[in-house]
Amino acid sequence: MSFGSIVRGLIKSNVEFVVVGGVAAAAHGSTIITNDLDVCYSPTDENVKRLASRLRRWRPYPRGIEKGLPFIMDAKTFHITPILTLSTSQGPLDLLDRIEGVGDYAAVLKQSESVEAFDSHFRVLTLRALIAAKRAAGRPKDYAQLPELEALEALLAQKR
Amino acid sequence: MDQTRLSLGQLAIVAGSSTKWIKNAEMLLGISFPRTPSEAVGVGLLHELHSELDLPLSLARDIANKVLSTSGRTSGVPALASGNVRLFVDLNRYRSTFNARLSRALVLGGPKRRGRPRAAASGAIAAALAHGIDLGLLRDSLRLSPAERLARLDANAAFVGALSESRARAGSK
Repeated sequence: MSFGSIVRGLIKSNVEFVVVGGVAAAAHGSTIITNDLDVCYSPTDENVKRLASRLRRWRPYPRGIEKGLPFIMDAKTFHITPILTLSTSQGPLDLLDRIEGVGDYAAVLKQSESVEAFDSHFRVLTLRALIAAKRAAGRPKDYAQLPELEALEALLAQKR
Repeated sequence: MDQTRLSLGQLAIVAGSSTKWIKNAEMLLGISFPRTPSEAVGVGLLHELHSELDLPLSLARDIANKVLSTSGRTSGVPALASGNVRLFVDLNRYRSTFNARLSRALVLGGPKRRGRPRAAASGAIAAALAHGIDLGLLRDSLRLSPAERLARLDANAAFVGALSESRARAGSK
């Protein structure tokens, strides 16, 4: 399992995406370990085709359900089910077309910044937008991460 | 299949509908939809037939039941009593959609926190300390570059993943 191999694979396939969730939080300094990569993708037809094509190489399957049931990975699946929670040969991967508290891909892109990591350049959601997303998601596990993210924001403000 | 009981919100995700549609449909049909994943498979098809084809709920339910009782990748069933109209459903695609939605419902569709939304923290550092967060760790992390932080996360996540696999292997012996 490697976040780096997923990010590099998406970049190699020219997929337009922004890393959100726990990995984005870690890029900003969070010490919480996450085991899945959350990605917000551009929902244009061409991008979704590139994404589906890349994912097919990674043997994707809906996470948390019985093995061996029908699952088709193509652009149509993204149009019918724009939020996918997958296990892949590279590790768990969640794909979202919008982020609660931030908006659609265009809004997410606007509230993202470029980072250099995993021998690549890619975009991650800003710390401010991550906090808004966690607050809007409203699940206990999101709320549990808020104090750390808000402390990071305060520490960064002190450094400036 | 896992017989976890789905919440109303999770059932709506599985059906591709709103919770309001679920409640209205249950009321109009005079039934409660099953809440286990294996039994909830028909609710999404019922919603699609009702919402997309504008079929009356009771007719949509009869058709959904007929379709799902057939085997094979596609299903053609008589849609009207006269037998003049047949409806073809791509069952393989429908089951794939259902599985993707079920995964999303199980992974992301858990209960939301009740009560008023949490206000933005005014004293974030004090709040973090009160939550037992080690500010020293955060300061150390901020001294690293994003690349160093993500390399550390990748290594830690791989380590935790390997531990979980090892535990699962030990448990299955």
